Amino acid sequence: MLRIGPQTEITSFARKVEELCGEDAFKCIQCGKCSAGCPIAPFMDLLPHQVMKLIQLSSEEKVLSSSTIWICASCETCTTRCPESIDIAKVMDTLRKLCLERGMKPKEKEVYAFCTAFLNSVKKHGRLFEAGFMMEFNAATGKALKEMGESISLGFHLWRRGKLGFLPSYVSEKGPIRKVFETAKRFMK
Amino acid sequence: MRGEKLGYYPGCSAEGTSKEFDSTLREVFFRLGILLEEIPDWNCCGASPGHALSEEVGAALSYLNLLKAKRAGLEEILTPCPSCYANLLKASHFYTTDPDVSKRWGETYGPIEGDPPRVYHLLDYLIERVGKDKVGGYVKKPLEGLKVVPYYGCLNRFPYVEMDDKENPVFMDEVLSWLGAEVISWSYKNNCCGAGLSVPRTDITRELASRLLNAARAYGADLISVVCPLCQFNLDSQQRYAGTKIPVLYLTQLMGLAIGVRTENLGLSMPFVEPTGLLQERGLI
Repeated sequence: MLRIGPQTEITSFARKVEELCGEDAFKCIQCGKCSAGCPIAPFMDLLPHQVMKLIQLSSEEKVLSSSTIWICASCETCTTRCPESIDIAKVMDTLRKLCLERGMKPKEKEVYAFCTAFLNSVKKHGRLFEAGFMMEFNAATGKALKEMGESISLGFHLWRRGKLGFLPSYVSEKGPIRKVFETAKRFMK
Repeated sequence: MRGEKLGYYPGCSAEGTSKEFDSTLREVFFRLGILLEEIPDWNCCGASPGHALSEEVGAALSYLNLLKAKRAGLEEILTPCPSCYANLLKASHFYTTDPDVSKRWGETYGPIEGDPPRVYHLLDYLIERVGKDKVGGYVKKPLEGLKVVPYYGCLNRFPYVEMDDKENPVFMDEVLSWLGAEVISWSYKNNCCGAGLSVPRTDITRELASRLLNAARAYGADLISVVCPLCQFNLDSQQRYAGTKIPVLYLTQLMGLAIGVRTENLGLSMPFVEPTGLLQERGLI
C-alpha cells in the first residue's frame, strides 16, 4: 500500500488496532456506507466512518473517549456492507477493550456497568442470574431509582409470569468457570 | 430422525425472560419426534458483555459447553438463542483453526476428542434437517389469514454465522409459510432492535423498537415472529412507547399453534401484548 508521510507517527494507532484484531483501518475509503446504515448513528458522538478516519489519523484519545465505541450494538450491519470488507464492528469491540486497557473511563458508564454486572453474575453462578444482575446494575448506576415507576411495572410483569426467579440457577462444576475468568485474555490475536 | 438425540443448549434467558421460547421449542420438537438432550451442567456463553470486555471470556465459556456436550456423547447441538449460537460457533472456530488456542484450552479445560459438536440455531436446523414435508405433515391448524412479519434481528450477521442471506434472510419466511401463515415481506427483517442496550440505554432501544413496530403496523402485520429472546423482549416491552399493540411471538409458539399443541402450553399469556384476542378472532384458539 502506498503511504506518504512520517509513517511511524501517523500510523501507529492504526497499526496497534490491526495488531489486536487484524483489521486495517487504512483500507477505509471513507465512502460512509457504515454510517448511512448504522441504526445507532443518530445517538453517536462520532459516526463509524469518522471513527475509521480518526484511527487513520492516530487520534487515539478522541476515539477511545467517545460514546460511539460503547453504544455500538454489534449488529454488524456496517461489517456486512463495507465495500473494503473491514470488520468495523470488530474494530469497535477492539476500541472498547483498548479504552479499558489504557485505564480510561468509559464514556458510557451505564453500558460498562451493564457488561460488568452481567459478567460478575456469570462468574459467580456459571449462568446469568437475571434478577441478581439487574440488582447489581441498579446499585451501581441508580437507574431503577431514576425510572422507578417503569422499573416496578416491568418487574411486576416479569414476576407475575414466573420470569423473574429470585434464586439463581447454579452450574455445579465451578472450577472451569473460575479458570475462564482468571486466564481469559482481553485480546486473542 | 426419530430416536436420534440432539444436544440442546437453552441459554440463560430460557430460565427467565424467554421461558416460553424454551418450553414451546421442547414441546414442538417432542411432537416432531426429535429427542432433545440438554447439555449436562451447561453454563452461560458470555453473551455480548463477554466479547465487549474480553475477547476470550465468551469463547472459552462456550468451549466449556462444547466440551460438556461432547463428553455426554452429543455430536450436534441446537440452541434457540442467536447470541449463544454465535458464541458456540466462535469457540468452535478458534478451537479448530488456532493451534495455540486449542493447545491452551485443551490443557486448561481438557481437550475435545475428535471434532467439536456441530452447532445449529433453531432456524437452520428446521430448514436443513427437518424440512417442509415433515413439518407440513404435522400441521393440523394452518395459520390461514394470519399476517405475520418475520423479524430476524442480527442473527444472520453475527460473526462466524454462515446461514441464509445477510441482507435478506428467508429461512423464517419459509417456516412460516409451511405453517400456512400469510408471510408479509418487509424491509425491516434485520434492522437492529437495540439488543442489550435496552437496559443501560433504554432511550436507544425505545427509538429503534418503535421504528420497527410502526413499520410492522404500516405493513399491515397482525403479529411479529421472532427467534431471539432479546428481540422478543425489546419489541414486546416497548409497545406502549411506540403506540402499537402487535403481539410478538416466538416462531416455536406459532409452530406449536399450527401443529396442535394445547393452547395452555403455548405461553400465550407471557408477552406484554397478549395475542389471545387476535387468535380467537381468527378462530385459531
